[in-house]
Amino acid sequence: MTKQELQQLYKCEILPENEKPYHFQKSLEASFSIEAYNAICGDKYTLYFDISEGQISSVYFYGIGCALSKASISIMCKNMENLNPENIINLSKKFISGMNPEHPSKPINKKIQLLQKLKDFNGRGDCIKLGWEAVKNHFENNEV
Amino acid sequence: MVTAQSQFDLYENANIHRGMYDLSNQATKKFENARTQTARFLGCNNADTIAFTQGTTASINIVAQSFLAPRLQVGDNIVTTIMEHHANFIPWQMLAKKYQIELRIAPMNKDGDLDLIELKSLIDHKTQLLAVSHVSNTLGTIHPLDEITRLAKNKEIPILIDAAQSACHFEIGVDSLNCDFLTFSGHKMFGPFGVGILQVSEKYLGDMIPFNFGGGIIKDVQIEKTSFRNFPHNLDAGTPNVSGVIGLAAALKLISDIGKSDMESHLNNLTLFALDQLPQVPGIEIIGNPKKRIGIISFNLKNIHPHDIASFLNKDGIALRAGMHCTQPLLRSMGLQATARISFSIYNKEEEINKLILSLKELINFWS
Ligand SMILES: Cc1ncc(COP(=O)(O)O)c(C=O)c1O
Repeated sequence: MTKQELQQLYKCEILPENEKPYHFQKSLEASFSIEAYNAICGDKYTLYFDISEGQISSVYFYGIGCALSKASISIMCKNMENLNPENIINLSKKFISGMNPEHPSKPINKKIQLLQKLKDFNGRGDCIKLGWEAVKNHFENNEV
Repeated sequence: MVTAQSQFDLYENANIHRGMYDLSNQATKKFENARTQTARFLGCNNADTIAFTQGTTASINIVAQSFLAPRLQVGDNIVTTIMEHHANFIPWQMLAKKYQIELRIAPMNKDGDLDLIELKSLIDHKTQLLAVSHVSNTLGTIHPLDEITRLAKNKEIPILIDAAQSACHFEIGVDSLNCDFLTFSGHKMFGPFGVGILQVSEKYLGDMIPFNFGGGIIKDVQIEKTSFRNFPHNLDAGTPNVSGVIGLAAALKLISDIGKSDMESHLNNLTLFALDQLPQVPGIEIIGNPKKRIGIISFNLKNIHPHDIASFLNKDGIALRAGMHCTQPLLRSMGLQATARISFSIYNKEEEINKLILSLKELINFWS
């Protein structure tokens, strides 16, 4: 990825999402919360899930991290609302496998596709996957 | 370094202390010459004070397991500082937990200097080790080792110095630094990866007992019992990294040829130049303002995370480390989550600092 391509992607996708992230606030009344923490770099977010009749009705998040992890979690939160736990696991699996440079990205939607363009952006895959991995692990290992 | 190592790998490859053939004898000779050369590099005539290890982390863990663990008793304490690399922190934390002893941690002030009054108050007759770095890998602080070692030596307490960040450009050695254990890594001084040094003072050579068992370290093995060789030959059970050690010796020669004081003054000039120039970057916060600092400057930019800084500067050909630098206790004590870190080597130039500043300014413009 050239510097110009990187700038373009940041300007159009990452920075707007980073500046005005979706549902970026603590939600202490939420049904449950998940911690997304990268111990190597210190990025740390709490994701707040509300569940109603077997479906995730809202997702909020709050914390500190780089523009990429924040933008990625913001996009993730929007995409996880109104899904049931099984679909959340499937979506996160699809996203994470699409982030593997060896795998072709599977189209999910335009925003996510743009985010996945950054998979060739060396060394930052963990930032982009941070929230998704935390959600996948939680939903796979816990009864919701 | 590369030539010395590949010469060995290509034409002289043989295991040491084993064969009765020329190639093996020659390899043994080179390996042991490297030990003598390392001792000399550390201002010491006794090559038996030098053990080759896998690096600083391994050296520190050896001291923890071989020297310290067997002498710990409930009620004892180990003193270290909040500024240490995890390599000089977690091994002591683990021992403290296992042997139910106290880990005492000296704080620093907001400038990034160790609080020596606090440090002094932590050391008492139950202290079994003082472990401190020479130069902080996050703030670049040069610790006043003269004062620090005096605090422990007055009470006859063994001292470990982590010289990973200073071995290249400061005169070091257990004698010159007045310490008992000295640790550093090859890859931070133009040597190979995965090889490092542990130097032990003559006073404690007999206290280094083997803990990693196998061939190469023994005098005699019977079914009932084994007797071991002395330090340093009782540590490296199995086959050591022979070509790595030969490469490290070549790196030490390179450093001696260039001259440590020239390296120090070059790094010092670059550090001062950068500290003078960096404030022109809008919104920059230089982390810490220690009394003495060399080679390393951590900073943050307003609203731009260190990872994003590093990624964009990478596109301008600038390699900057971002994150916690394996010093989470230090960053937490400063209320920081991450920093971007500049570190200099002898090949860096002032023009590169100017280029770094231009890149940072461009990034800030782009971001806003
Ligand atoms: C001060 C300090 N101590 C210890 C280490 C660990 O060194 P190694 O990874 O070579 O074992 C480092 C590495 O960055 C360091 O800077």
